[in-house]
Parts: sequence; C-alpha cells; structure tokens
Amino acid sequence: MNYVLSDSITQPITTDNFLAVEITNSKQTSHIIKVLNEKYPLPHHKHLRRVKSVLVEGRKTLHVLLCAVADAADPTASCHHTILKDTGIPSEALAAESYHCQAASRQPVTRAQYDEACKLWPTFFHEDQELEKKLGLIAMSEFDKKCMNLAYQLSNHGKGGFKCGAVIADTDSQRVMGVGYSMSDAHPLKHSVMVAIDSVAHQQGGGAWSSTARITSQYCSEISPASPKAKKKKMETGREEDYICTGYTAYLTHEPCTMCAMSLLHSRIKHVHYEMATKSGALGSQYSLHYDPQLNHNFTVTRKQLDELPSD
Amino acid sequence: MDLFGEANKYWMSKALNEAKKALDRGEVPVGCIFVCNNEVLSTGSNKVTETKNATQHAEIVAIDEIIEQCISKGEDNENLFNSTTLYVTVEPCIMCAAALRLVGIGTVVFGCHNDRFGGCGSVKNVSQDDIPQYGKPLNTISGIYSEESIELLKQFYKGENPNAPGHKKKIKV
Repeated sequence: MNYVLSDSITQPITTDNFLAVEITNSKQTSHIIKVLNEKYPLPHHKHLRRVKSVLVEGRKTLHVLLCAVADAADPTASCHHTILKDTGIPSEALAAESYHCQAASRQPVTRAQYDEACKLWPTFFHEDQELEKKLGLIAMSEFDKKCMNLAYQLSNHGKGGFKCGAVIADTDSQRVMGVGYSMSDAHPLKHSVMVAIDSVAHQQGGGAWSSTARITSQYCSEISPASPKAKKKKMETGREEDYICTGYTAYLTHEPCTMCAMSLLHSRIKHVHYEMATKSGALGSQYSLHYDPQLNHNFTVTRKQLDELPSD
Repeated sequence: MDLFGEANKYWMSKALNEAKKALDRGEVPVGCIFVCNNEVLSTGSNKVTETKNATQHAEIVAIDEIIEQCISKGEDNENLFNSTTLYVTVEPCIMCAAALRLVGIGTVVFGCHNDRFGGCGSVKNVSQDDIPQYGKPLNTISGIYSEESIELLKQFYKGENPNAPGHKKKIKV
C-alpha cells in the first residue's frame, strides 16, 4: 500500500527564474554574499543558497544569484551593472556577463525533491525521516490484513449502489470496534462508513440506528472480544476512555465519498486504509480532506497500489 | 424567493427553537426544520453527545426521521426531498452538505456561516461542485437570523465541551 500524500510532497518541484553571475575573484566571495544579502535579499527564496560551486574541466568555479527575475526592476544584463553600482562590488570580482538560470521556487520537502532542486541550484533542506518512510511501498501487518478481509466479507452483504465494506479497529489493542456495509437501498445515507461509525457508537453505549446494533453484536464481539491482554495493555498505558473514533483505523474496500470522509474526520479517526479509489472519493480523488489545512483534524491515508496482489 | 420574506423568517425561528433545545441538552446548538408545501416533515437538533456518534448533526437526525416515516408509510423519499426546503441555523458542514445532495433536497436556507466545517462555500463548496453520484447542486440562501444563530454557538463554546478529552478550549465561532 501507499500513503495518499499532498501534491506538495509527491509532485516535482516548481522553478523560478534568476539572474546569476560567475565570481571571478573567489577571495571576494564572502564579501559579495554579505552585501548582496543586505542590498538584494531574496525574501521569497530563503531556501536557496546564494552561491553554487560548479566543476568546469576539473576546476571549481563559483556562481552567485544576483536577484530573482520577477523582483528585478530591469531583468536584463544592465541589471547586473545596477547591482554592482548599488552594492559597491568591484566589477573585476564578477564575470562581465550575467546569465539567466532556474532554481526551486519552494523549499524541497522530500529527499527526491531536494536532489532534483540541487541539479538546478543548491537549496537548504531538513530531511523529515517520518515522511520519507511514507513515500515508498508500505507493508500491511497481519492485523491490517485480517481487518481488510473482514471488510471484504462485509461488503458481500451490501445492498444498493456500491457494495462497500468498512471495519473500524483499534490497532493498539487489536480489537474490531465497528463494522459496516452499504444499506443504501433503504436509506440513502447508510453508506458502509456511516454504518461502521454508528457501530462504534453502539460499542461505546450510544448509537443512532437499530440496524447497526444488530450487525455490531454479530461481528464485533465475536471476532475481536476485548482480550485480557488488550485490557492489560490499556491499564498499563493508562489510555483514556475510548472517545468516538479517536486513535482508531478504518479499513475500507472503497475510497469514501465526501459525506463518509467528513464523518471519519468528525469522528477523529487516526488512519484510513482503502483499496479501490472512486471518482467521487474525498481522500485523494474529488477532494483530499485528510490533509486539508483549513480543517481542524488531519489523519493519514493509505491505499492499495494497483499492482499489489489482493490481500488474502 | 424573498430572502427575508415572512415565511423564511418564520421557519428559521422554528429552527432556532430547535437549536435552543440542543443547548439545553448540552449539545452543540444547531437546529433545523424540513418543510414541504408549508408542512413540517421533521425537526432536528445536534445529538452527537447523546448518541456518541459524531455524525449525528441536526440535519442527519432530521433526515433519518423523514426516511423512517417514508419507510413506515411505504412512500418514496426521493420526490419528497426534491420539493422540500431545509431551514438550518448554521451552514451545513461538509458531511451534511454531501448528505443533502445524496437525498436530493430542493432548497437549503441557513443562518450563519460555518468557518470551521462549512460545506456550502466556507471551507469547501460541496453544495455546488460537480461531484459524481451526488446529483444536482443545492440551492442555498444564507443570512437569515445569522446573529441569533452565532449567539447560541457563542453561549455553548463559552463553556467547555466536557465530552472531548484534551479538546482545545479556544474555538472560533
């Protein structure tokens, strides 16, 4: 499976145009950087290093960014002379001709983006090791597979529209907390996820739909009763009472629609795994609610890779 | 439709009464009423705490009641929803806006905007976006008794939600 991540993470870097020039007197480099940073700072490109070193026929040459083309009053070679005049950099310290080049428009977030950016112009970069782990193919645990199989089993009971199955589980204590399948033949809002969320509510002594109570008692208690081990763990970790879907993982046969994705967000789900993307899906297709910065809760999402074998 | 017409104000005041009931029960004070041909189909208010189910917003609660009525009468709910207007004190959230499109509601009249979860333009535009399997966009009218609706929410958030462990106290309304 793969994580469903934002475009800013998975997409190639974007670039902006700059005016650069070779430094011919390398002894002046630190002085040049200092005065340029003072008089010609790069406020929108603080992630860029001011100078890059290039090997030309075994000889190291240094190049400096003069300004961003978008920021330059006159983005032609004459700008180069204006900069010399404004900064007092002696003209013999720089090559006579400046040139246009491209550099990353934003700070790279992943190592792949960083490598790509540095081919153009060196940047600063802080590697996020947790994020790097989410970039490749991720293996499912045995418990993940068990829950996913149950979701498929449930989907066979589905009636109306998509035949979807949903399982909501606490992966820490390895307990199934709620189950659902599509019942939208009789009720347009009874999608598998809505049913599973209500099933969790029944497990916690609440619940809105009586049909959910039946399948909850049928599947949840039988398949994963709270084991003594899980209870012991709960006492040891001193976790608070279960509160809606806080800390839980949802296993879904299909990408949830907007209503269902938002209901998982309202329920404070920790992680969602789905197998089949849908056009109207709201966790990567139509919308990506799980990492929307405007919403007050974010969660991680994984989906099955198309070339992966079905989990069985 | 006359935005501040007497009929809209009348039904919205009924929705506000529902919201007040939710406040008395310690729930987030959002109330709604579904009206078809000047007849009340159902009323609803937030029941998240009571049901321990975060999806039980006023609109979902009231839609449930209408569907139950249709099932018991053996009637089709699709045509009924089509000719129905929903009056709700706060802009439907992303989930509820989606639900309203799924049932095919005719018109939605709401009070104040919902900057945290709004699905009718504030955060997402679920009400208007082209979404497969979601039917036609929603007709929406906003701003009726907006201040009264906000006032109720402010009253609620002045206190702390005792059901949310570690819930941030500072909540923007």
